[in-house]
Amino acid sequence: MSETIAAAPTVDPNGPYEAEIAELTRTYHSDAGRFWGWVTSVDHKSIGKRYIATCFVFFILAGLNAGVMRMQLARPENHIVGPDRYNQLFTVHGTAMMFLFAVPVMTAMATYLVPLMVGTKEVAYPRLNAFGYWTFLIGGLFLFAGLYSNTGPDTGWFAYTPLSGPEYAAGKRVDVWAQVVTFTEIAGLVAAVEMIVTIFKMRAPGMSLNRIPLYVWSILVVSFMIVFAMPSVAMASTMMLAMDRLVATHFFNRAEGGDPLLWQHLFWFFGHPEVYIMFIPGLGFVSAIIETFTKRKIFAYPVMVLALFVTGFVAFGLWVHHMFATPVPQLGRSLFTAASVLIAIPTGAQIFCWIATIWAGRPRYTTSMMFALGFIVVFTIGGMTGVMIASVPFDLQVHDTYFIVAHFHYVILGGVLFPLFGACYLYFPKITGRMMSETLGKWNFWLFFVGVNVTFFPMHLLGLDGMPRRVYTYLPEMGWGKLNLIATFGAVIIVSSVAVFLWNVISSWRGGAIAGPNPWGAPGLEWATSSPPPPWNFHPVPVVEGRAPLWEAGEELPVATGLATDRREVLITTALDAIPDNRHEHPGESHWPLVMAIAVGVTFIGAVWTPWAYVVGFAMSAVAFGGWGWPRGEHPADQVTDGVLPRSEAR
Amino acid sequence: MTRRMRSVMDLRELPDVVFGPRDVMWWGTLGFVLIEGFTLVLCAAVFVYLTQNFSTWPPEHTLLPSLGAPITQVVVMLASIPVVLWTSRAARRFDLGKVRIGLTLATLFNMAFVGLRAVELLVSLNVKWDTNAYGSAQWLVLGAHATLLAVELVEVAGMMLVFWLAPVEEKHFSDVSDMVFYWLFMTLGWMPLFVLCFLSPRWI
Repeated sequence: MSETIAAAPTVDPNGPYEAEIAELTRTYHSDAGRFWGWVTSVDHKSIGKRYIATCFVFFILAGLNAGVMRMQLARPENHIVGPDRYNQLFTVHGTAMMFLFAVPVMTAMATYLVPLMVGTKEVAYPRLNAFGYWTFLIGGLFLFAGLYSNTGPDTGWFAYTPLSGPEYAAGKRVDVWAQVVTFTEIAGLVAAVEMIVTIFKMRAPGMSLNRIPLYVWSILVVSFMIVFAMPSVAMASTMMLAMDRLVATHFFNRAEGGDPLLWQHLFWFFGHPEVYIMFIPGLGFVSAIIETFTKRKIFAYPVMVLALFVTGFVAFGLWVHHMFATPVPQLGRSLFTAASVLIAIPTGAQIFCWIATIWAGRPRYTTSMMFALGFIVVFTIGGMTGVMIASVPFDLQVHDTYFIVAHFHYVILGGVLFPLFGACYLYFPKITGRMMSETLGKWNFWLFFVGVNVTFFPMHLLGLDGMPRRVYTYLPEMGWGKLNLIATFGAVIIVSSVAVFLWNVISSWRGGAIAGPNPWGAPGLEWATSSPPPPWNFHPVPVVEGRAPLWEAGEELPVATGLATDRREVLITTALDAIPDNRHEHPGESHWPLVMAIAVGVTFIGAVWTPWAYVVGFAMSAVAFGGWGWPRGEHPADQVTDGVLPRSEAR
Repeated sequence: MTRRMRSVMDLRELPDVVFGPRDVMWWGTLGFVLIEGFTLVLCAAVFVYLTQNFSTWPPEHTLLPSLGAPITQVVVMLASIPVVLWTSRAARRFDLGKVRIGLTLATLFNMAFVGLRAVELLVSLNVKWDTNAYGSAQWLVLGAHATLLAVELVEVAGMMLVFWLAPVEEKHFSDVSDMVFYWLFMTLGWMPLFVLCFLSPRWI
């Protein structure tokens, strides 16, 4: 089978449809200039690319924070930064990595990839998609503006009350944190709805549920998780913590009947699923990579899909294991310990399925594949220490020590960074039309693999040795100097790996080998169009006849014709079997998503200082809403006047 | 090597205006109903969680909420439902005249909701947000639901203006139907919260 697949042909983007393609080119053409066209674009690929780039910028900035922290801890009694600055550095590092990188970069990748993978022209709501990006950008800039003006949040990325409350955290640092969280949650929720509807209603004809690519399944599961997890932290930060600080509500004030532990419940009800929201898309990437580079369909597809669902479901039953050091009832501890151990089962099942796929396939050890294998090693180590700290007695011993820091960095770097780098090497040719350098890629991988282990493995030992997290320095007598120095050395290796990656991206974008539509001979629909894809992705619409459409289509790709080309029309299909149901017209470029995001920005940034910002922001948003939705009469033939339906007969 | 394309179906005859779950905008509305609905559930959970910190609820020296405006609110909300359902049916028949009337009535109803909510907050609750955690919880639940009322007022008033003033196309009638779907969530979703905020303090 693999011989046939290796020679899999690609689709001629023009074929017999040259006249329609010419009209689509006019339909999707923007009269705006280059910059204004970029600002007003609603193309999911354009939004996706800027989203990815923005996330990586925040990743680098947050990584610089980590670099300073590692330099500070490289030896005892170091004084590169003082305790106040150190508090801001680790808080912004964690906040940015979680809220501005790990979760949104997966959203960003999905924004670019999912419409291509399901064979449609756009996401479900293109303007909402653009709005989500601008909101995210404003929130991220606000966080770093806070840090660089010495108003950076300083109470940790989970901002526990009462430390973050008005009594112990004067000034505006925590308010900045609370509103940044709100920005990112709005962006995340918007993207989640986009993805759910795109996946349920816009799949190519024939892509029934049992033919959806595993990466798309992972995004669907994560999107549902976002819908039920993020309201918790958005409510807790904006409507409770910020209000306690701004207008003296008493949600977390024990003296007036409030409860600081309520914050922990609300935060971790979001915070624990958040971990899975980060790495489940990574699991999807690993499936895509392994399938592509072993030339074999993923082993036990139904098990993989069920495992994603079980992981997503059980993730909501684990939040209290972050609170074992608080007075949680004994029965609750046992329940959450059991659930925490249970989560290892679906993840383990997926790892066995991947290994079986590699075993039965013909693996090609490209950079992308190497990162997928690196993921299995690093993530498994992180998962095993997770099972250890699911046990209450052990957790109480290592709570708030560097053991925890080591654990979650193995999980996050293993579960997010390794698959993400692998996905970058896999999809860079699709996004840019050029190949990345495999030589630089191998350097990138090995430096990263070594760097991650050299940095974070010693932290297990430091934690067992009693070193608490979030200390800006330590005494020489503690004996933590050597292991900290090794960890700092590892951080330097990680930095060099990321530098190699960035250099690879820049040099390959400028002068990499031309990729062609399907350089890897991969099976998914995203490889059925040109690289980079045209603004309309596909024309005509591809039709799916199996789970690996390009491997199964042979010499001819089945397509569905008849979508209008004089407007941005997309096909809507039924949710279960993807049977064509109706045609839907998408809107064109618009500046209103940016205007709406600015209105939201004024609201939440202003609310750091005054509650009246909500009134002003609401009024601005109402105006933006009007501009967004007001009909422009683009299709006079479709207009309804009193008693006259222009196309009722046709209907 | 280039792959050829083989046409296996023609999409030309598919409708381009549909209603309800067939419409992609309906699904977006459902998504936001889930998000906002779950946020309200969490607000209610906070309310219930905080009751355990008090021996009496409302706490001592805090008055029970009065019921005049809240009951009026419930009645007005329930009375609006037949009106918006009638509007939805008119939209499905592309009856421009009736839709205009229905949207105008819906806007008036929504303005009444917002006005009554202001009275509920400022008068009926008999407690300020900064009095104690009970007051904070009450303002949280009513305030969260008030944002739904305010946003919906912008939407329905905007839609009314569109239908009276703008070049309306057939697809906009489907938006009216989706608005009614959200309206049902907003009004019926308030009923258990009304019980929680205004009746349950009398029972606990």
